[in-house]
Amino acid sequence: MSPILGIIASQNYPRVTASYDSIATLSGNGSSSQLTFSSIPNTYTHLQIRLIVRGTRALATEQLYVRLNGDGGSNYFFHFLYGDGSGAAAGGSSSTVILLNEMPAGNETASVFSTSVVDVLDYTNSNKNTTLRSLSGYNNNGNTANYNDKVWFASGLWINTAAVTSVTVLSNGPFATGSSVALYGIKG
Amino acid sequence: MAAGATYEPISTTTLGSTAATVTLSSIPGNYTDLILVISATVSGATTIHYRLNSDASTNYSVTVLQGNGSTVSSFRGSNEDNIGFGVFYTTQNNSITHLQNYSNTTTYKTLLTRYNNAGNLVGTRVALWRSTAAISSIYLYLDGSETFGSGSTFTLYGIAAA
Repeated sequence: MSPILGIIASQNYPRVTASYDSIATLSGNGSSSQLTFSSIPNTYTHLQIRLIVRGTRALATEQLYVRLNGDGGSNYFFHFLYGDGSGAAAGGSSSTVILLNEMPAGNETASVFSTSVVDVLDYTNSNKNTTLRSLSGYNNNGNTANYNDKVWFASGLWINTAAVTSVTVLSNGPFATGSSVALYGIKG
Repeated sequence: MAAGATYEPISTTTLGSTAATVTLSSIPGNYTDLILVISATVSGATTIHYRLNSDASTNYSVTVLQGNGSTVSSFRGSNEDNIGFGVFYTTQNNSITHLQNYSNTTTYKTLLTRYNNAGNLVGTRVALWRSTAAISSIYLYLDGSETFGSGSTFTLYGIAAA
């Protein structure tokens, strides 16, 4: 979940220096399977990516991934824990990507999108490998033809100490129109 | 890339006495996402229920993953008249709920929450409200005659994407 922010909650308090900035937003167009934030400023401490996405292919679901700095090598590890409404399952792997979750695709109930909140922690630090965590999921009201909706925790490791300068959200098929991926910077 | 400060507090409700329900209304539509942070006690172990825009029809469904220290479980509910979006106990409870793209009028609404009570359980849920309406109010209530404790806080934040 989100890093702890020192936010003054009450409207009765004076505004403090802003610590959470919107950087950019990318949208699905029905043809692109990759959405990339590039030239990410190094003036923040953490990044947060907030997604609402759906695939277009004639499938029930598509896997949703993250890749950093365009690195397509086998330099990632990920783990996940999910609940599918009947039981919990876990897994993990080394890979060329970090798996976040499975999003609904073309055969899923119309107008259903999955949402994710992804935290990329200490992304500019050149002394440590980059880690991220996410909470994701969608629900399809018990559509038993596509009993694939789940709620997910995921964590990922990029085995590289370079500062993160680009983030790519990708899938094996196009993102549907209406999909949106927003990047935020958190100051520390 | 354009940058803009966001994550703004919209409202805070702090209970001065026990209450059976809490309503967050007249939610402005000029943000991209909402985040509802709850820090509360309750009179007895209970599910916390959500209704959006006063919709009491069976337009809600939820998938749950939670653990109580010895057992992990997952279950779902479909065609329900509310979202059962966490379990609260008499000791301090916390939940953070994300309502992304809440003001769009073309898609159903997907909500994500994470909740915990340190002495009892930790969990996460994803819910669907089968409505394309923009979310303008959130109604919270508990099981039976249970009440939120005095001092419980309900803070709503708005995030505006670039």
